[in-house]
Amino acid sequence: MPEPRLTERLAAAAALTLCSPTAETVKILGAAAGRKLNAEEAQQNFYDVFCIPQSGRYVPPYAHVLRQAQQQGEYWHFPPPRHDGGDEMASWYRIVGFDPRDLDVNPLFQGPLRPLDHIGFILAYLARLAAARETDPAAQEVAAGFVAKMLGPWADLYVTLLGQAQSDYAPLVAHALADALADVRAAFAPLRGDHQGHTTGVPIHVDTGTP
Amino acid sequence: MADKSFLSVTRRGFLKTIAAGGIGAGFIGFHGTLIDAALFRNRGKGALHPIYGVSDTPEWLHDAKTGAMGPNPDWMLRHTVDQQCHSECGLRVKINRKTGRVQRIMGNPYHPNTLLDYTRLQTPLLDTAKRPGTVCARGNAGIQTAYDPYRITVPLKRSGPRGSGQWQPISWKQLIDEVVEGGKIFADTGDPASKDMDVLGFRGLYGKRKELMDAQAPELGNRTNGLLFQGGRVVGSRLGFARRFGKAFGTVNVYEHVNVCEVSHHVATAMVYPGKHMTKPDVMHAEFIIFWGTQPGDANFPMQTLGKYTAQARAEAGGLKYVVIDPLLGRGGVSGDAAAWIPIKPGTDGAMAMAMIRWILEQKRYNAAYLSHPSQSAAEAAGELSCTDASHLVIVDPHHPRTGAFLRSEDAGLGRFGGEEEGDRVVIAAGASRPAQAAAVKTAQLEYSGSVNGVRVQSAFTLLRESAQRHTIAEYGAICGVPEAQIVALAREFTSHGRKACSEMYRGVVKHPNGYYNGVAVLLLNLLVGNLNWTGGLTVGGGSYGYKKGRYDVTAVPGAEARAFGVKLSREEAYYEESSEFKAKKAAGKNPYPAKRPWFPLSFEVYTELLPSAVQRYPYGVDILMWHMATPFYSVPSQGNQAFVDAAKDPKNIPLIIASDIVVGDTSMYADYIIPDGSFLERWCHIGTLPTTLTKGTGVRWPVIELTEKTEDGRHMCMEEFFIDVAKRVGMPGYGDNAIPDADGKLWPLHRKEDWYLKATANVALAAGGNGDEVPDISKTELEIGDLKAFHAQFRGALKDAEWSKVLSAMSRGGRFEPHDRAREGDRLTHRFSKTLHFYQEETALTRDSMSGRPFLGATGWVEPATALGKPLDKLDDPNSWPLTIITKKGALQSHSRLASNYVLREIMPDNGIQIAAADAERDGIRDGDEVWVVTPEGRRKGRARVMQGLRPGVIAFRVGYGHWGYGATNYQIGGKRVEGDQVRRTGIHLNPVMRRDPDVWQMSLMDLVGGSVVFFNTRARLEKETHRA
Repeated sequence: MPEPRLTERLAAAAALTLCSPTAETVKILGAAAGRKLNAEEAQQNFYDVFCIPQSGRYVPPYAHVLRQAQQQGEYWHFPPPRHDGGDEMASWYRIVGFDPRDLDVNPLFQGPLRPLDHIGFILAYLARLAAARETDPAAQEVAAGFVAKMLGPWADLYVTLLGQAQSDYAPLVAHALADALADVRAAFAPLRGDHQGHTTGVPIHVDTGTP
Repeated sequence: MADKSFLSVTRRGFLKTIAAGGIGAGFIGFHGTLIDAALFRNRGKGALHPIYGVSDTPEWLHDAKTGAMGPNPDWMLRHTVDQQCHSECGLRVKINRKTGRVQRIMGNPYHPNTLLDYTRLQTPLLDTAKRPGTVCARGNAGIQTAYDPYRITVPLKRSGPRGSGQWQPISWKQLIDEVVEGGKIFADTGDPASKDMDVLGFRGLYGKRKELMDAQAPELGNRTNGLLFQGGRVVGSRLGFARRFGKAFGTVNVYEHVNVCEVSHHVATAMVYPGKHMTKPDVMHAEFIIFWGTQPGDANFPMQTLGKYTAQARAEAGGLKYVVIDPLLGRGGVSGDAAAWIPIKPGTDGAMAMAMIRWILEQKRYNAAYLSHPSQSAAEAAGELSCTDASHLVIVDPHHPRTGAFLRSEDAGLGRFGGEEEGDRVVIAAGASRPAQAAAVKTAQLEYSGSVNGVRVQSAFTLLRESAQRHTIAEYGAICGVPEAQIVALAREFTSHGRKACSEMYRGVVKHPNGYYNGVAVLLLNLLVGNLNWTGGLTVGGGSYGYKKGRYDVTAVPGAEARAFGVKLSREEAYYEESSEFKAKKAAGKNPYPAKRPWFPLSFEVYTELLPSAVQRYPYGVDILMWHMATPFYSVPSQGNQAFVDAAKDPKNIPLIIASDIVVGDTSMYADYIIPDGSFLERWCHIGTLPTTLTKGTGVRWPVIELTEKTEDGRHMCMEEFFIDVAKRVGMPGYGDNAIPDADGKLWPLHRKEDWYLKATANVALAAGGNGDEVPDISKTELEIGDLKAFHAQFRGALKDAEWSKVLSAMSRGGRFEPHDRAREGDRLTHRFSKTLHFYQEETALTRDSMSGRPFLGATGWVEPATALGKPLDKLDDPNSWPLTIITKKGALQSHSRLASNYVLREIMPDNGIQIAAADAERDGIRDGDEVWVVTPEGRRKGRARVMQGLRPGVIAFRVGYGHWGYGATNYQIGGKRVEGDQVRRTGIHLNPVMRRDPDVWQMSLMDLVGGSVVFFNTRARLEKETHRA
């Protein structure tokens, strides 16, 4: 079996955060982790930890929320997600015509009112760039700028919190995410003089087809 | 401290393993180049069907061989009436037969709102398969109202203080027990303010049905007026159901929301077109329309239909031209060859209309021949379709006991007249210069100022001219902010299309302290060109099929012993001068003016005055308050202020508050009990089509689904079942076994809502008809399509057997509608209005302002907006300190408070923002998207700036319906479990709570004291830029 490319690895990590686990997903995860997982419990874990703020086990997967997270004693406090909280991602996504609404994900994450800075969207976006760089070197530049500017400590905090979730399933997703972040940082290290990153107007001359 | 041990075991091989296993395969779609990626295509899983994709199967099946259409057995189709706004459009609801769940909402092709040439009633349902009607985005989104996750489906009782957000689910039986029997029903709440209160329930209050409210003021009626029903959007037969309960109980205080909407429009219309509350243009055939305070495509009567007609009419070669006069340019005010926008200063429409009237009169551009006919018979003899009182003489001698009234024949020494009251008026016969009875001459002089039989008089026409001439056109232009030349050009254009020009208005004109006068001025332009009843002119609409009488008298309350009478809590339709309070003050030698709170003798449904009047106990207090679809704290200007909310929710002021609502709403959150109500897809209502429709019609809304829990005997909980059970428990007449009389006098039972509504449907379906409006019998296929057999079986006993076929047929078609080709008869409209139109508003002139004691104006004119005691608003809030005026906007996507659950609409427009004119924004250094504070004399609210060109500088606007604090926007508890509020519903800005109160009356919004409208468009404000992000 050929080793999966970066784009496939990132897509896998993204899918774990955005899609309810199927029996097949659970089987693969269990095999990789060397333990047996219960599919029904995994699905419930997914809804509790990734989807439902009222569950009591929810870890918000949005960058703008995690950036403002505060620890007081043993408790973490998160501000409520804002529908426009991740709008700063839009200009990056637009460069490659990436639209989270095109992803086949759990409906709870879909719709224009859902923040754009879900960690799964970000990994899917980077997966898209990883694929694109195989034929267009400019994609490497975009990705490096994005990682430098947008992928801050919040992502590591999320992985940490996810790893502590009271769940068999979520910590395994955290494993995958930790790997993905390491992959991303290795593959898209900032270019020299590019540590400020890009915001908009990245010099790639493509017609994105979007206004 | 977080446990970091997890990171130490991370190994990058884990992700490789699972990716190799296939997780995420194909997840991100096409792995191509950047250019390819930009194609924005969904590369997800394949579609289920090559044509329909992943959508549901269609509701109809097509036989490719024969071309025939047939029903798809997977779906049932039911036709009902929308209530996402007040357009009341017909709906086709597609329902999954297996799950009973609504899958899609379309337009009902039989309903006039949904198609220009809507389907004839006799057309079989099957034949409509290829041509459904259309509904707007709000109509389509209604599924989300019905299936709102915040819906309440069981009764709730507060388990803490009012407004604490703590609720306990209770049984229907407990609900009825407690509210009927009363007593210490809040002992279990732990609320210090009410736990020891002995509450008067329905039984206790009904027991006082023969006691006067106040022995010193018998005009206030009986103690049972202490039951107040404050309804929001409750209309048609649903309002009839509530009114019947009020009648049986003995209260006059059953209200709908009208004055928070625009009652001054209706009052102004009724004063010009007697008894009518609305006129509309024959849009499709008009040549020129002025839209005042509205524009096609915005909220109106009805929004979709008026917008559609306008779009079609202006697209025709040589078709409709129109002008929008409004501070805000909406989508219907598009500029171009066919349309123009005049950005007027808010509240000055009356000045502009009076300027146009002045020019038209001075230039003699009015239809003099039409106006000269003093009676309907004279007008008809001359080929006219209506007549006015322009030539009728009015007593202007201030010392005459009937000053302000029309001169009667007896006053003029012409003897007594035995005919109709209006024929008894006096005119100056044309050519003869002598007084004559209006009914006795064919034509009369329009201008007259002089004496008749020693009484100084002027014609109505002359009074209007003199009123118009109080200002020059240039002065009017300065008041309304429109150049004189533009006013003149508009007046010239308006009088260049014969009778095919119309002056049409909606909210923007009337929701000001001077709203009534503005409205009358705008309407009088129509009288000057004589456009009523003509094709391309003005109409009062096609009318409706009544639900109240016919086969059954559903309004009757057999055996009623408690007479509902007396002054209403809002003091509407009653004269202060006739009150005991007034007489006592006079007798004591005191100046009786001002009244404690205004009286509204010319108005109706003065909803906004209910709560403050109840708290002040003026003219009396309230024992039991019922809210239904009512949210005064959210929707009434200024009533959301904390001091008032605190006063209204204090149990000492209103001991028992019961709400019927579909959610815990912005106001119902302060109730003691919430009755779970059905959404509009679960309700009954019979509602006439609105006047833009030229044909006759009544829509039948009926429960196409039912989602609330059932009572023990199997009825879905809702407002009506609550009324029925309370009435039966108390022993009120008109409910139970002998409740509803039929035409033969037989009494029928009322134990469930269908016992009443089906009879109302029979009245509609079986009313006399002709010309193709007869309801056909229902076919077997139609029964099947709507799954109506089971319905029939369930309610078989509610009607006579012979009535069922047509009743079910009307339900299957969503109502009864006259064919569209009955709209016109050549150059005239089929349905015509025949009462004398009023140039001069005698009833207004004979009514006094209860605050100042001065009479209102009979001849309309420009009146500066002022407080209740007459202080001009510019002197109340100095424009130098408060340079902006707030207006509201009712757009096509979000026009009411109740659509916050419609996420498909919120996805299109997640945030309303503060609309700011570009010039104002530039001056204040505000950029689009900035956070700004809107500061008013009453408080401040923060929102996001939306800088735009299509707004008059000096005006800021916000769309209503955003910025909720209830309706699922904030957290509350049910049975100790937390229900998390949704940010989407909180998003946006809502300025009603910081709108201007009248400083002269406790907790009263600014008001139009003549027409009764509450004021939305006269709050002054300034903007302050937010300097830091919260």
